Amino acid sequence: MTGSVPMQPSAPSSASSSAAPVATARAGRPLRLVAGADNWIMGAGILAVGAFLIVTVALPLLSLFVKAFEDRQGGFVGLANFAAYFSTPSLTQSIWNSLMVASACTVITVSLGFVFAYGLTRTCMPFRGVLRALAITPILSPSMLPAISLVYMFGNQGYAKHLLFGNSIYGPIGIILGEVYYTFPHVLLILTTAMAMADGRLYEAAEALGTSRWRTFLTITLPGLRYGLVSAAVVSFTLALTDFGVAKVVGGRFNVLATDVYKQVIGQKNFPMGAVVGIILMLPALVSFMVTRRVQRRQSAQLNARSVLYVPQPRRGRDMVFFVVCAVIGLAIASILGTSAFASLIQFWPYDLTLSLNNYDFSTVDPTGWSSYFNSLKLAFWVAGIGTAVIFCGAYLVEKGRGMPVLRHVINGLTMLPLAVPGLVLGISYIFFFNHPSNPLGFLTGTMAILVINTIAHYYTVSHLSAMTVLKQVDAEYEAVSASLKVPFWRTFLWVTVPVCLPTILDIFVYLFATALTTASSLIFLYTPETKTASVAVISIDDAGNIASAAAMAMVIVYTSALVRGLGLLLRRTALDRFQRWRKR
Amino acid sequence: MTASTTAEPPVYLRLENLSKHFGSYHALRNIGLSIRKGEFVCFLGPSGCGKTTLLRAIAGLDPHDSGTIEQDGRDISRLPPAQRDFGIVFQSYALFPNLTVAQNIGYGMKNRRMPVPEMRTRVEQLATMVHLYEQLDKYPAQLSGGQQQRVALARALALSPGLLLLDEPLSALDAQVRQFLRRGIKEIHRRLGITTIMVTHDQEEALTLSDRIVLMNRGVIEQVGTPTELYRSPATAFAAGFVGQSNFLPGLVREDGTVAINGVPVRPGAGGPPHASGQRVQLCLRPEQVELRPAGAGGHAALVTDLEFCGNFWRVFLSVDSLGCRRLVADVPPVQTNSLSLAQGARVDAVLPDGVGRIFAEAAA
Repeated sequence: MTGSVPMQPSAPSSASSSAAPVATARAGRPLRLVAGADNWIMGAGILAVGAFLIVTVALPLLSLFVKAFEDRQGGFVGLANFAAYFSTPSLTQSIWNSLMVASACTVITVSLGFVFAYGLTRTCMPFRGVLRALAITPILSPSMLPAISLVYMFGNQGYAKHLLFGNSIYGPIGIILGEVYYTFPHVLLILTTAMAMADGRLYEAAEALGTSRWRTFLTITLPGLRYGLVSAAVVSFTLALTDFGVAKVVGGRFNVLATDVYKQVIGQKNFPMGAVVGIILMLPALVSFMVTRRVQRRQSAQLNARSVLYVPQPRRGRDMVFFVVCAVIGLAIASILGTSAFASLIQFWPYDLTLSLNNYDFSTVDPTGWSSYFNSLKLAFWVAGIGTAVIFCGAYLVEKGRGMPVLRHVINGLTMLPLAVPGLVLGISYIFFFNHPSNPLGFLTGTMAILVINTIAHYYTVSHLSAMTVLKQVDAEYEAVSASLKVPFWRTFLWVTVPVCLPTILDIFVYLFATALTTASSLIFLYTPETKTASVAVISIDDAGNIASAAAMAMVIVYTSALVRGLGLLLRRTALDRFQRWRKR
Repeated sequence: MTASTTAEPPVYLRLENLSKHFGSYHALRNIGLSIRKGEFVCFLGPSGCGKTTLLRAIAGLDPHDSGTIEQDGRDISRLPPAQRDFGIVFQSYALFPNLTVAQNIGYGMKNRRMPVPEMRTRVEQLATMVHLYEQLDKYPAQLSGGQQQRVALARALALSPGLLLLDEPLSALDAQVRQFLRRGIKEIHRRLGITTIMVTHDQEEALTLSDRIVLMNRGVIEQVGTPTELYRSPATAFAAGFVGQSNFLPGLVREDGTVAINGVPVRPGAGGPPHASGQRVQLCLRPEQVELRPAGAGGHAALVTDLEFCGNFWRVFLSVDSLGCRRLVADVPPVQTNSLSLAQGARVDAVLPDGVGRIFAEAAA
């Protein structure tokens, strides 16, 4: 036997713990550890990201709220602006117009998206790859593009005007059609993801029990998709409600909230009323944002490690029906993009149909000429470069950081806010905040820097969420291991975390770059002649009546963002693979 | 005994009155423990017992709320992990996937600007020790689970820490690799003499590896002792139930010191706290302590309700009416299984031997 071990535990039971003089533990807090250099650096990083989000998101929105309760001179007037708003029928009419248009767009887009997604994921229809690619193309264009195409197709001299049976494209019909095109890829992505997540075992069980196809659809397929459907509807509704580009081009005299904000702020310089409309515009977005959050929280765990992915079996009849329907939808999307592409190359629609590049000589229609395009490129580079760095580091500090739990929580909350704030509203908030005479950051007004900051803030949420997703997949103990090996956390961040997350970092970069090219809604309030971007130029050129050149500028944006996304894909497939040899088994 | 006391290595790690809460949940309650230099200690217990929490508190990864931790005579309670002296292996291994085996092992040395040739020598030395010399230029994804575990072990030892912490290092592996690596860990510990703490929920791992086992339950230490002490003299009913199998038979303490189980007196073994006469207790008997005889040979008539073949013995489940016991477990060697012609429904006699069972106060695990 071994010698008796002298060390006994100091009494776990209360009976003998009275010997210990130390106070019994209260529901306590962990000991504060001595802060090393590591902690200072991490703390500074968390503070910096927190300050960035407070300055670029929280404070501007706060000044929007303050502005809504002030008169034009800046005195506090309580709810007077809201009272004035609701007693002006021409303004309140826009609420109903907006809701009507957005609801119609949601019903149409989700129905079409459902059929299309079903065709892609649950049938064996031919050309699925081509159709999917085609259906995603609207994501490349600014929202003004479908509106411009609709004017060419159904406008006063449109080639398909007779299809409207005398109705005008200017107004609700045009807005709805344009928004359907604009929101379709977003809805499709959500629905295909949801449909791809089906557990094949459920279908096998249903078949083994001799369940009819219709009943299988009602009892298995639809219930499994309800969260996806809600998310898709919410996204479609919010995008259509808050989009500015389509209504600006093809809205005619049909007023919606988004154009009202623009008219109040830019047209009438009535900032307080602009703030009121902005807040009203934000309410539905906030509600739908909360609905989505709820839905997402309950959505987890449809699939687990033991699930078997559903693989559709060929069935001629069904496959052909879906192919025909999806092909029609695909052709409609292609014809909208094609119309702008073609019209921009036409000498003078519809009288002189010879091809020419005259419409691409922007100096004849806009004083900024091609320089707005180069501004867009500059903007996109800065947004993608700075944005990717800030957002990824921010997500890292939120997910892996230690200390400052409250601030990290606040940061995580603030990152969600931009998703609920329409670009338009963020844009006017920036005017109120940065133009305020006592703001020390006022020097940013009118610079490229404010456009960069605004665009990063506007698209913060989506990028933050993808960064968080990949960071959660990274082993939680890297920081602990490096601390035990006396390696500061930031070394491990650079040596390990960033290389491991490189594909996602590239995705974020490409996403920010492409959206910076297409976005216009918030920049419309912040640009100057020197910093005017291509997407803003589309609106101003169209406003001036040069629709062909507007189409040309929109197409330049489409070609550029297609090129960027293509390059991104190529980079992922080639260069990244070579650097990431270690991923292979 | 007295001679060995002077030769005892000094205390290396001392925990005093450690407590920790997660919100209102009391994860560690007044933990006190001393570990000697070079000892191999296992924290054993069911999930949620606080064993990993305790390990992480020692590492400084999740600091405790109150109490002190002393390592090598130095109070480290408030030091951040980077200023403590330990190497750690996690259940997930947390290997850096984009670095080779050599780079993983040399990770801490590179940061210390160790000269390259010296670093190379040290890495090769460590790799040889864990039998990975041939794999130095591979990436973790190209290794088997067992090899990955050994890379993590070599990396944890790279800076020659004074304390090695192992957080369920074997639980992600299949049984055979596990036994092989268990011996590997033991061998390295023997060779380096490094003070080691391993967290595990696997009693077999704890029994085979440790110098001492710290048995934990619900945030408190139930018992500390050598594997044999824990098995032979469990201090609590929980210990008797968690380490090895036990039969718990409810009974009453009688004046003569025996325990009446359904009226049948059984004399418990020596040791353990005294119990007053008339007190309700549980008598704990290991399955191998229950003796079986042919029916009518003397004992309590028992009915075999089920049998499990466990390789080198049979586990027999019995129902014994005279003891009021529906489930008495006995482990029986195969030879005896034949001689008793044990089968489901067979009748035998069961004997509860005197002087071996341990008694615990009523409320059992």
